[in-house]
Amino acid sequence: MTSTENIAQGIILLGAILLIVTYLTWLERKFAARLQSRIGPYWVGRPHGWLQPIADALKLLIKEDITPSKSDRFLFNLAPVWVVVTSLLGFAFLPLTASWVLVNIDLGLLYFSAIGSLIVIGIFIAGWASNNKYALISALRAAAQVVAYEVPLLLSLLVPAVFAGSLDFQDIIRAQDGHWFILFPVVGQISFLTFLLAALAEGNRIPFDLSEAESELVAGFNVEYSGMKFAYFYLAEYVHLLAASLLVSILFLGGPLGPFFSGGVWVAIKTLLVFLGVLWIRWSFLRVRIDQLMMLNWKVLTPLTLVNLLLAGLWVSLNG
Amino acid sequence: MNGETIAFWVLSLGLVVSSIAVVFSKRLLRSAIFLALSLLLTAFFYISFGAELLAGIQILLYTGGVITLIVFVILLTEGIEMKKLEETHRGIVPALLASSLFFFMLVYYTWTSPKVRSLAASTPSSKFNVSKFLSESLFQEWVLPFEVLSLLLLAAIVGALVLARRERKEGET
Repeated sequence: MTSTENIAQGIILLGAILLIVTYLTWLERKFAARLQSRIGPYWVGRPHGWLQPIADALKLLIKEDITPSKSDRFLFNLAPVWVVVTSLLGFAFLPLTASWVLVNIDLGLLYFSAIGSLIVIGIFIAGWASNNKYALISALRAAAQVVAYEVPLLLSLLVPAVFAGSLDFQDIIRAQDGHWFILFPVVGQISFLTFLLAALAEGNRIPFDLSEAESELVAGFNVEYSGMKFAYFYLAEYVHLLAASLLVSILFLGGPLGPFFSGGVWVAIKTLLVFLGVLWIRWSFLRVRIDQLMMLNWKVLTPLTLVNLLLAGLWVSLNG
Repeated sequence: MNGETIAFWVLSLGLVVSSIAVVFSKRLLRSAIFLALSLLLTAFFYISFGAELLAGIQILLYTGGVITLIVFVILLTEGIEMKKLEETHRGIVPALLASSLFFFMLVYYTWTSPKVRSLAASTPSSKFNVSKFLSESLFQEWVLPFEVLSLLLLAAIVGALVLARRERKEGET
């Protein structure tokens, strides 16, 4: 593959992700509305408001861009860019079909998790540079939360890697031919659940969105942002969520493998199902307290994932 | 000029600028962010040299882990406000002398050492699986030193916790 071709594919992938994410916001609003016996967006693009995301994007684009006068101007402007770039970078390593991936290296999983750990720095910069007490508390919470949840996240990510004996996504998909990793007795399910929980915490989603907590921190780190810069944070959140859903579908649900046929369609279906599951969690649960969050991590998830990883290693060494 | 050369010079420029910014920033957190940037650029250098595993670990450990910890520590101690640092560049001339001496020493060594030259001339085979080699030597050949090291780190963590707890108790009573 030449570098020109590579760049062209990257641009197409970027456009596709942005379009998909725009419509995921519509999906979330419709889904949440249905869960709460409402209709959701309807009038813009009748019926079912399919033009609503476009209208929202246009509105955000033409809104006034305000930089607080006492803020750290450079970092204030850097934060939205940092967050969007780092959350989009992860897609370069995720395979979308059995053979197609933008950057094909045998360390895909390592790179994906490395990039994923960079997002919090952007959130942190945003919270600090705003020079706002709520934003600062939110930044503190985000840092504490991500430092803590990085541990179970990586430990549960390692289980599929141990099963497949590789950090290459292609190898992980190939190893799931016939039996997806979620179907491994006990170990697979625990790893799936702990990964999902840790990913929710890492992506600041309800029930773990303590750094955004509208009721106490008035939206936290992004409170001073307006217009397109605010939209960047919103975009990054959804991109991150989409990447996490895609990762789950590849690591645990067999990716492009499936009954009747195999290919990118299965990846799309599985990713969508995981995404809807995450939305379901969001609209069904309440936010936890910060001490509950930390207790869940250090006293439950971390030991559980450690034991789980040990069991996975035992399984492989006994059967391999 | 091919793409690799352009990438090299752009990365070098970014690395130098961000490293200087680490030292000359007046705000502690800005320094930390520039440090993150320079560590990230170092990882890109590793990629351009074909050391993908090292680059991944550099991003995961240094940019992702250490910088988050540094930021965390800054927040837990002080410098949390927008206060500007003062009196930080008093020893600028000796520092500049020492660092440039060190720099020329490094350059001189790499330029003249035959070992470095032969390493630079050789091209690693692309079939070589670094992660496999590394994990085998870590967990088979050198497993005992590895475990001893992790025990030492565990002892250090427990020790730090004990020290921190005792301090707080004395403060309370």
